[in-house]
Amino acid sequence: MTEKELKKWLSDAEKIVIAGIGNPIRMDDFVGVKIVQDLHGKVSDKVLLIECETVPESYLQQIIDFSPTHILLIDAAILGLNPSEAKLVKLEELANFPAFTTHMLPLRIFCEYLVKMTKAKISLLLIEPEKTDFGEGLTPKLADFAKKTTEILVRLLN
Amino acid sequence: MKEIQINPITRLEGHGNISIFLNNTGEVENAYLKIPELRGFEQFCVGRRAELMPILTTRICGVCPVAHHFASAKALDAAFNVEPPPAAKKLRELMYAAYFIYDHILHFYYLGGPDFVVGPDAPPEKRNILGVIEKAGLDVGKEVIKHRAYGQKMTELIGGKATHPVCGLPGGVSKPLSKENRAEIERMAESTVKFAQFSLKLFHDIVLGNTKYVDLIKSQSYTLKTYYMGLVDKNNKVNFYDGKVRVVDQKAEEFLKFEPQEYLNHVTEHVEEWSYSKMPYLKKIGWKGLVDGADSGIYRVGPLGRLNASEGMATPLAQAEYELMYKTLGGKPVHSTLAFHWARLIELQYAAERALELARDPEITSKDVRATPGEPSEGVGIVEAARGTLIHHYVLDKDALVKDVNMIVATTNNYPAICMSVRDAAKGLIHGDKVDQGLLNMVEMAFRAYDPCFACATHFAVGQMPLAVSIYNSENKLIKTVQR
Repeated sequence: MTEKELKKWLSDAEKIVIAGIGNPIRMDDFVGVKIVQDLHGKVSDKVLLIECETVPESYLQQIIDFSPTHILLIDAAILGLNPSEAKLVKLEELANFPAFTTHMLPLRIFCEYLVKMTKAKISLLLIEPEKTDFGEGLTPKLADFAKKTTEILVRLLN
Repeated sequence: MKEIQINPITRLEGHGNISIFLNNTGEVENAYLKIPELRGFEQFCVGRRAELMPILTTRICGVCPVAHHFASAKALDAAFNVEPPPAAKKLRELMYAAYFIYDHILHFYYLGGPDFVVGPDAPPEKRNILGVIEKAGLDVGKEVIKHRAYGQKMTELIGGKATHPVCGLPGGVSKPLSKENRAEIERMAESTVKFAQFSLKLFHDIVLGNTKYVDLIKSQSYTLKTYYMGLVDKNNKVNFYDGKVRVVDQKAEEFLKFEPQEYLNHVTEHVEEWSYSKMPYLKKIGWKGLVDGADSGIYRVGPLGRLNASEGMATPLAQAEYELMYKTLGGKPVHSTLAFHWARLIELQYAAERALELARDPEITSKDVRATPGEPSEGVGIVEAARGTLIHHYVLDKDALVKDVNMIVATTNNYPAICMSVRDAAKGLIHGDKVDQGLLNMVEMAFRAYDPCFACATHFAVGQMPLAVSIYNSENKLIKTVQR
């Protein structure tokens, strides 16, 4: 993922939701929420920041009420990349599989549902974690990535 | 284009992994759902300050944090020998009803309901909320989101945070409810009562109006004759937050009724070498393996377990529907696993009605919401999580540090029954290495009824399937794997 890619994707954005997904007690899994936390107070009111933690579906109404043109979900994912490498992924690239418990609703269903309700453009910024063991705090590589990505987003969103 | 699987939105360690074992004639003998992860959450809590427990334990699960929060707060009430003031109990129960509202809506519209609304034979990728919208219209989708958000908002107004609330303390709650917030909760609860009625009507029109679906609900493949467990009030009506634990037998007759602190006298756990998850059973009956019937101590919890274990609902609309369910499905108890869906909607109706009652209770805005805790000792807190009976048991030392923790979570209570339901759903579809393509559909439907709450941990997987079924022959040799 490069700044150029993000800039291109956000080029026609008017109102943007940035939602961080991740578990605060699973180390690098928290990276998405950490980025969103660090953006607070640094972006304009055209940006809605949401810390979804592990339940993005609980924030649907808040996202719909904001009427965004763009929704960026930031999340840790095992992609087979090196730790802290990231990829900007479009909805169509997400695998589609059936849900069998509310404790693991597929992300694609959540995204498609959002598209139906908002007509917004959705992308996922997926970041390869180094460690997702129980514990608080990011590993140094992921902490550095979070810092740099926050700076990029501050530049792009202002 | 390469597909990326993100499974499962940061919540689950590992995926659904089912092993089916055949006998020497190639027919299904047993099925086991494997829960591979050792959570060890209880061990993290040892040595912590007791008052942290209601906050720590909400992190067990992002879907049912309110259940853990109040099971924990109630265990601390008992451990500190303190009785919360009436207003505090009512606030806890109101927030609890709000949690049931958002949780049961999530299950019916996103997961369980689509099996019927969209149809059991529909392609798997359609059997979700998107399929429901396609069939019932976009406006239904909007109402679903709105009322889920109402449940969340009510929780936030009382609990401080919607996902991981912070209000529960030993002896009560941290803050009273303001008059403005009470009025807002009343407005949302009123709307939710109507939405629950709408949801039941949808169920009537689509499911009960279709004899094929009713036959499916009543079918042998989805029938288990177990004991049932749930919390009841003094009139033996369903209560999510408080009361005694009642257990009924296969004829709906009361088998046990006990106070939370007596649970160890009645429930114990069997351990299998292939899973970290334990298998609870009724001590008095004993463990006889994965079999149903009066001689097997296996019991079921959750919406159907609660309704079967009770003598009714404490609100009028829910009570009317309760009576209709038993009349339609042949009397009490109902043993059909697929009836969990109907029971869940009856509970949604009850939760909405109860939330409205409590929002209108003059005492709900009382400022007296906390009593002073006593000396630390030992305590048990039991609530009904959306998926079933949830037990927290703490032993504290003289400095109120946690010495020992035991938790029995809802899905653990249902774990033996889930294994049996999967086995029975698979019977008839597997003969030797011949596997009917409908296997995953049937297995998924059995699963979905319980809405199993696996270890709510965090993990992502790429290239793994969300549900894999491995079939072994009588010599324990893997002969086939079926997955989507």
